[in-house]
Amino acid sequence: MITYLPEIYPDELVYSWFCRYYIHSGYFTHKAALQEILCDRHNNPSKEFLGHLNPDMLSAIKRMYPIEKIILEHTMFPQYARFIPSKQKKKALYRIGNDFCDVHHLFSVLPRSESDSYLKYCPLCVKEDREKYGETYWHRTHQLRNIHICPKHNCRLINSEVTAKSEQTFTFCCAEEYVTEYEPIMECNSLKLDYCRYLSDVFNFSIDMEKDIPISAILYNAMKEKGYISLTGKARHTKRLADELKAFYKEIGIENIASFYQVQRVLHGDRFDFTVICQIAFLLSLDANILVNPKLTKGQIEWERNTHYMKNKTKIDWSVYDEETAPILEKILRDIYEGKANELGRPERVSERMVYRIMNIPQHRLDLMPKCKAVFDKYAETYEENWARRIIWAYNKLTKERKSFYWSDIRSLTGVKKENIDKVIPFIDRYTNN
Amino acid sequence: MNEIIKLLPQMKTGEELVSALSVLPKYDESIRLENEAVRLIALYDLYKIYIPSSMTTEIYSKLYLALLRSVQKKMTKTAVLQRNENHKAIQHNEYTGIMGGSDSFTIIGNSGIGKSSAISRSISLLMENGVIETERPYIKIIPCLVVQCPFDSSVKGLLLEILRKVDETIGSDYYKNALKIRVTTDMLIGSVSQVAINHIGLLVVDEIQNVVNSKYGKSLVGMLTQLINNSGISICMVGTPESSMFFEQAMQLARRSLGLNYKSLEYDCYFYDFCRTLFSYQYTKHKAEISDAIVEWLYEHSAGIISVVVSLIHDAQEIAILSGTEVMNIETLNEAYKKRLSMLHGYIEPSVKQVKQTTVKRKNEIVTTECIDITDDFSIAELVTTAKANNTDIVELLKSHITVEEVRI
Repeated sequence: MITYLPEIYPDELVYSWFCRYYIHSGYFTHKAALQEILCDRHNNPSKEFLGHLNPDMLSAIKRMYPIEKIILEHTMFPQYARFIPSKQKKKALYRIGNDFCDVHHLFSVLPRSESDSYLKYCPLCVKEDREKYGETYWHRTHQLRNIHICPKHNCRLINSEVTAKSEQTFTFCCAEEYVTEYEPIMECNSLKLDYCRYLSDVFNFSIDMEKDIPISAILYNAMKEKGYISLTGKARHTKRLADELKAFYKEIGIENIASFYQVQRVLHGDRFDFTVICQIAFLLSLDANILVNPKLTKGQIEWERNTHYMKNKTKIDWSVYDEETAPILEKILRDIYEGKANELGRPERVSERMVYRIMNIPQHRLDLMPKCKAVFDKYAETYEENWARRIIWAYNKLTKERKSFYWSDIRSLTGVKKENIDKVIPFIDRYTNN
Repeated sequence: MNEIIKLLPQMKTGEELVSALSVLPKYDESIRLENEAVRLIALYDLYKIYIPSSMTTEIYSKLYLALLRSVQKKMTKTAVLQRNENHKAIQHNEYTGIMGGSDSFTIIGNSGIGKSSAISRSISLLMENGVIETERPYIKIIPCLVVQCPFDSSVKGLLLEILRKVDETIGSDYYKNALKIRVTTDMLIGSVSQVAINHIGLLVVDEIQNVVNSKYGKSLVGMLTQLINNSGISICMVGTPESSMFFEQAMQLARRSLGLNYKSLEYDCYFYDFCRTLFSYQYTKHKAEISDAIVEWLYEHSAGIISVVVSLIHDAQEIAILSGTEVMNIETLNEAYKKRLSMLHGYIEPSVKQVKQTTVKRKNEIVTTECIDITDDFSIAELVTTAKANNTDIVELLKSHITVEEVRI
C-alpha cells in the first residue's frame, strides 16, 4: 500500500518522480519499489511515460493530481503527440492514462540516435534545484530529442550514464545519484541557442485537444510566405526546402537533420515527427505560438488538402478489406488450428505474427479490422493449450498405428518437453471426450 | 509543513486538559443491591479509573511539544537532504546525520506510580485525530508510536518492531520487505530512519530499563541516538529508576536522557482526593465513609504508589464481598494488605514497620529459674522486673501479652 508519495517538481519527468519515491521511502531493493509502483513483476519503469501502474499507485497519484495533467506536463507526450490528429491525440491520452497501452501502438516512436541515448542534465539547473529543494531531478525539457542546450541557462547539457531507453531496465536511477559533472560549458552560437529555445517553447506550450488543424496545412502556409510553394499553389519545392534545411542546420552544428523523405512525409501529412516539424518551422521563421495555435480558415485547410496529388494511391477502406478478408482468414486459421496445414497433421498454434505474415499487412493492423480480429481470437490459444492438443493428437495417432509406444514417441511427434508436462496437464481434460 | 501542524489536535491546558485526561466509569448506588457475581464483576471498574495528577499534565505537555518540534522538521529542505543521506546508508555507502536534534528525553519513575498510564492517556489525546494524512505530498504520519525495548536489548529486534508497528498502523509493507532480504543493522537503521522521517511524529520506547542488565544496552542507546540524528524525530524513553544509573555513565548518554523524574506521591490534597474518589466506588452492601485515618492508613500501606492503593481498595472490597462481611473498613483493608499484597511488604515502607530478625540471637546462658505464670492481669512494670530477673528480652515477654510493633527511630 502506498503511504508516501512526494510532490512532483515543476518540469519533472514521472520516472524521476518515481526514482525519488524509491529513494525517500526506505526500500531496500529496486524490486520492492517496482512492485509497489508497477502492475506486474515483468513490467519495467518507463523513462518517457507512465509505465503500467498498479491500481494502488494510480489511485495515490489521482488523489494528488489529475492523471491528464501528469501525462501532459510530466511525460514526453507533447513530443510525440502534439501534431497528430485530434482524435488520435485524445485516444492516446486516454489509453496512456487508463489502459497503460504500449505507446508504440498509439503514435510513432522512432529509434534513438547516439546523441539521444542517455538522460541529460544541466549543471546550473542541478545547482538551482539543490538550493531550492535540497535535491535535483530529471527535467523533462532536457530529455527532448535533439536538444543539447539548456534553454534556461544556455549551457550545454551533459549526458549522464543512465540510458534513455525504457526497455531492459528494471532500476530507478535517481538524478541525485547520477549527476557527476558540475562545470557548465556555455554555448555561444546564438542560432543554436534560438533553435533549442524554439524546441523547448513548442514542447512546453499547452496542448489544445480540440483544435484539429493538420500540421501540413500550417507548414504549407508558412512555406507559401517564404516562396517554397509555386505560383499556382499546387506544387511544393520540397527538394529545395530539404536541401536548404540541411545546409542551414549543418552550419549551426545541429545533428540529426531531417532527410528529404522525412520532410516529404511531414508535408504530405503522413508523419508528425516533432523534430522534423520544428526544424522546418524554425527554418521558415514560423513563430512558435503560431505553430501550436494556428489560425487558419477552413478554406485554407481545404486548399492545402486539394494540393496533395497522390499517384496511384487510393486510401484503403479497412472495413471493406476486413469484410472480404475475414472468411479467407477463417479457413486458413482453422486449417492451422486443426493440423490440416501441417504435413503430419499436427495442430499448430495460431499467433498474431503468423496472421500478419499470411495477410501480408503491417503489424498492429488487426486493431483496424474487427472481424479478422474476432477470427483470430477464436483460434488464439496459449502454448500450454496447444501442447495439450498436440499430445492428445499424438496419443490418438500412435494408438491407431501401434500397439505400444513410449513418452519419447510422443515427444518426437509433438515437440513438447517433459519439463512442461505439469503445465499441460490441467488442459488435457478440456480436449478429451471423457 | 503548516498543513501538518493544522491537522494536529489542539494543545489542551487547565481544566479542559484534566477533563480530557480523566476516566471515571459510571457508578450507580443501586449496584450494591445486586448479587455477588454482578458486584464482583463491576468491581473491576476500579482499575479503569484514571485521575490526572500534575505528573500527567506535565507528561502531556512534554509529549505534545516534542511531537510539535518533530513535525516542524518534516517537509523542510533539511528533511529532503536527510532522506538522500539515509538512502546511502541502505546502500552501504558512507552517510552523515543532517537533521540532528536533541529531542530525546526520559520519563523515569518507580513501577506503579502511573507513568505508563499517564503516557497512555496523553498519547490517546495526541492521537484523537488518528493518523494524520496530507494530500500534497501524500503522506501518513503517526503522531505517537509506542514500542517496547526488547528484553535482550537487541538492536535489530527494536528496529524491526518499529517497522512492524508502523505497518500495523498505516498498512504499509516495510516489515515484510525487511524480512524478505537479509538486511544488516546499518541498512535497517537507514530504512527505519526513512520511515521515521516520513511516518512518525514521536517515538516512545517503554521499559528502557531493559538496557541496564544487557550487554547490548549501550548499542541500543547508541542506535537510538543515530535514529534521532538521521530522522529528526523526538524519542521518549520510559523506564524505572535503575535506568538513571545507566544513563549517568557517560556525557552523551546523560545529555540524551534529560527529562522527567517521578517518585511516589506525597501525602497531599491530590492523594486525599484520589482516595476519596476511589472510595466512592463501593460495591459492598454496606457503605463505608472515608476518614482521615483511612487515608493515612492507605498512604502508609501503599508508600504513595497509586497502583497499590487501587489494589488495596479493590481487594478489600473483594474480600468483604466473598467473606460476607460486606463492608470496607480498616479490618478488610488490613486483611487485603496482609493476604494479597504480602510480596510487596519488603518494598513498601510504612512509618510503622515490622522489623525482620536480621541478627543472630545471642545465646543466653541457660539459667534455670522459677517458672512464673503470667496472667492477663499484668502490669508492664512487673514484666520488666521479671525480664531483668530472668535475663530475658522484654520485647519477647510483652509480645506474649499484647501486640507489639517496633518502630525505627
